[in-house]
Amino acid sequence: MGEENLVCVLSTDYLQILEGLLKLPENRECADCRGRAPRWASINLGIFICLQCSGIHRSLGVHISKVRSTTLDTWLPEQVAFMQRVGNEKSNNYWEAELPASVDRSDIGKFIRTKYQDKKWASRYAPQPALSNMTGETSEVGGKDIPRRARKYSLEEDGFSEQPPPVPITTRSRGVSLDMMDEMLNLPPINGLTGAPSVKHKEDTKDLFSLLYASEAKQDRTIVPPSRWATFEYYNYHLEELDYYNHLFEEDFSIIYTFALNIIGQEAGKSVTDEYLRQRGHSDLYHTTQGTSASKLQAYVKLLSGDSLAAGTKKQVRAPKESKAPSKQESQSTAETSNGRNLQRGSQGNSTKTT
Amino acid sequence: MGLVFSRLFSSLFGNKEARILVLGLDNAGKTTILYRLQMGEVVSTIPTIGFNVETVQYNNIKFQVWDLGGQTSIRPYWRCYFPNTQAIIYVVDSSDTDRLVVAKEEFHAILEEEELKGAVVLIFANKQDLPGALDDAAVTEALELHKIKNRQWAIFKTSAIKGEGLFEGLDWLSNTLKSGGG
Repeated sequence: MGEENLVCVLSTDYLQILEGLLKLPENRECADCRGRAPRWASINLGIFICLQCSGIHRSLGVHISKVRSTTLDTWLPEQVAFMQRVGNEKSNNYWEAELPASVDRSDIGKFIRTKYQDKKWASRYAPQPALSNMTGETSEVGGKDIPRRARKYSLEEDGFSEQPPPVPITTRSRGVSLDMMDEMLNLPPINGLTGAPSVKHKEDTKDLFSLLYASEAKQDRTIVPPSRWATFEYYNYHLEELDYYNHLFEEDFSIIYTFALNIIGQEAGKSVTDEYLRQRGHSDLYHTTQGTSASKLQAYVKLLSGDSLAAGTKKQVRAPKESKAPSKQESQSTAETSNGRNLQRGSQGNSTKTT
Repeated sequence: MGLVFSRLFSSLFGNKEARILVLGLDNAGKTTILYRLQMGEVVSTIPTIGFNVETVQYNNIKFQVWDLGGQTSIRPYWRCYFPNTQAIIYVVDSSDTDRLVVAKEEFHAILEEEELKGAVVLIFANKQDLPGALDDAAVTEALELHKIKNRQWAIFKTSAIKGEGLFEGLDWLSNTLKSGGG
């Protein structure tokens, strides 16, 4: 592990690879609760999990699970490569080898703790898929195979350091990214536990990164100033994010709007969201919501679950009240179970809702 | 006149208000700390996408505590919340030794911010309940806290799960703010 290597972080390249991995059939469901469309990952277990399960994994401690977002975090090449080598199927072949068919997943927290902390159902024969089993390969991947120019600066660095970067910052057109995605999907499928993993995996990994290399080489590269680059990357990046949340909240655009204002920031959030709505063909909404981006921060979508759902607590961010029960974020996961319409939405100042 | 009097009154007898930002890498325990302080309970959390804000009344100070999401790509938006901040609570997962260097980089980047020049800094070396957690001295070393100049700071060992160390930190914070720091 070498997160101290701060310079080396992902940009669209690794996002594309992760997106590709998430489209593999084995990774379309959360490794633990089997909920659809996981967007989080445990980088030491090599699995993709949903938001709710990611919360439980985080509570286990990093000695058991290290959680990252596939969309909101930056990744190191070896982490991405490890995800490609393991994935949900292979991981569960190990962690659920002794899993009885009748196991109860209704208490998913208990299930996850039993699975990874107590290792109750882990295989007694196969080794655990772990980064430490593959150290030789990872160092090679992280150190040599990745061409220096494939590494880009993250938004993070752009945000924090005003200094000019030591290497030219480059960008690509949207079309190239999409092409690359197609290639990504044609990657050789990930093997199960059968076969000799180390050799095969190494080849896969090389494919993975030679793909990056090739796509870098064949495209036209334009050097743009950092600010424009940031806006551009930022913008495409958040469009995908917005698509995701749009889907999650069943296309209630007022929520998307609120989300964007909080996450992306007020200025950028407004332009990104407006553009998003325009591109997705909601120009009518685009006009009606234009006036709603007040200078104040909007109440972030707080979805309440269980009993508190009925109470319908709305959260006024600008005037926080004392000793008010916090609206817990776990409830967001309720939206993933397509129950979004029944949820209370704290959209302050955003009256526009589509039904 | 009434306003002057009420200000004098509140400065003498409490009701001081302070805006606090809780920052730190993802999964440091920021949200758990916020709700432990506010409700006295351990809540189960999911990654914070956006922020949580709560008011915590303690030692005659009304702390408005902002807990901001720590994922890599949302850290740059922390700065949107910097103006008028009296104190930073910087939370570190003391057991995540792999990422202490990242935590250090982020920490010192925050200290460079012009808008936070006047803010006092409280560091929580959190997750002391986990195996392999570094103590406050080791975290001080790893974060290079000795490099802090012209600013009041303190570090406390905490376990948000066990509720240890948090209010000791808040004691320090309220005393520091009352004595004019921040």
